[in-house]
Amino acid sequence: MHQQIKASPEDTAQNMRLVIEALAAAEINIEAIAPDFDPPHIRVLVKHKPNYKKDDPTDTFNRALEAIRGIDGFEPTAVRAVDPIRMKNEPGALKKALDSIEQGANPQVIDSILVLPAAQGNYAVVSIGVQGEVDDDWADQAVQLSVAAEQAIWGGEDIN
Amino acid sequence: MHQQIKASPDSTSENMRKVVKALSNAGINIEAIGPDFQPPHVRVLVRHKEPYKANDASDPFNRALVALRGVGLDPTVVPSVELVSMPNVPTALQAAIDALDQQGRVLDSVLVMPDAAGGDALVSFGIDTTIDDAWPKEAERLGGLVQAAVNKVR
Repeated sequence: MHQQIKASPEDTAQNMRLVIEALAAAEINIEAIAPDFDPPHIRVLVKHKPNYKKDDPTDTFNRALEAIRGIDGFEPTAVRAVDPIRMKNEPGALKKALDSIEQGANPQVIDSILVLPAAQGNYAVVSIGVQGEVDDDWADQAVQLSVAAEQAIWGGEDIN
Repeated sequence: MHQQIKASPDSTSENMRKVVKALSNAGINIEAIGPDFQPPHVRVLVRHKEPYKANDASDPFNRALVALRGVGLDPTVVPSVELVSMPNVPTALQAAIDALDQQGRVLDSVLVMPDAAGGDALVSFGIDTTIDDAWPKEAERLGGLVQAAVNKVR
């Protein structure tokens, strides 16, 4: 399982550098990283255990938050991301996904796009961040939004 | 082969939306997209034919430039090092950026594509410099250096 972290406060390039250094020093793998749509924030994607617990100091995700908090001036926050979407490698696929998330039954405001390295066959895996706080309802919404986006991209086609 | 395009002028999210829509309407595949380190610019990675010719109207890369100009953007082709195959392990990205730092290069974008071969990601590093006749060879040299640095942490 993955989750996005939003981090701050210098210019984008410097923030990117500081986050990469902090996570490398803590031996934490960066699944994906990119500037936030709201500069100069950075989004970084880190794995967490399947049954995520905020108070588990051994969870890689919590270790990442701790490592980033250790950078002077940084206040990392866990942010909303739709469950990773399997993206077809063809024209229009990304637009269909964005349209589905922004204009579907549960419209969201997109604020980041991260690509994961897990390519299989003819698709990329993409994590799309959206505005709002992570609350108890979010996990179910994240799955529903992902399912709807994949339906928009693939229709009835067999993804695998 | 791939090359990065830089596009502008509204907010980052609005630019992102505009680029995605324009390229979708033109039937051009987006290999990768992300915000530039210099907001509100957006970077998009599009394939081009090999060898690339700037006057070939059928080349998807040139079609992408036309499509972006058509929606009021002022796209520019920007320098990036040859794609680097990045293992999914801690410190790989740090090794890559350190290698570029040691060459005195300033990074201004990171775009990620999945590597169809499996576990690795293919990463396009944008560099803050100008494209001149010497750039293709330099891009290849830097790509080789970064790849060698990354391979050490596999």
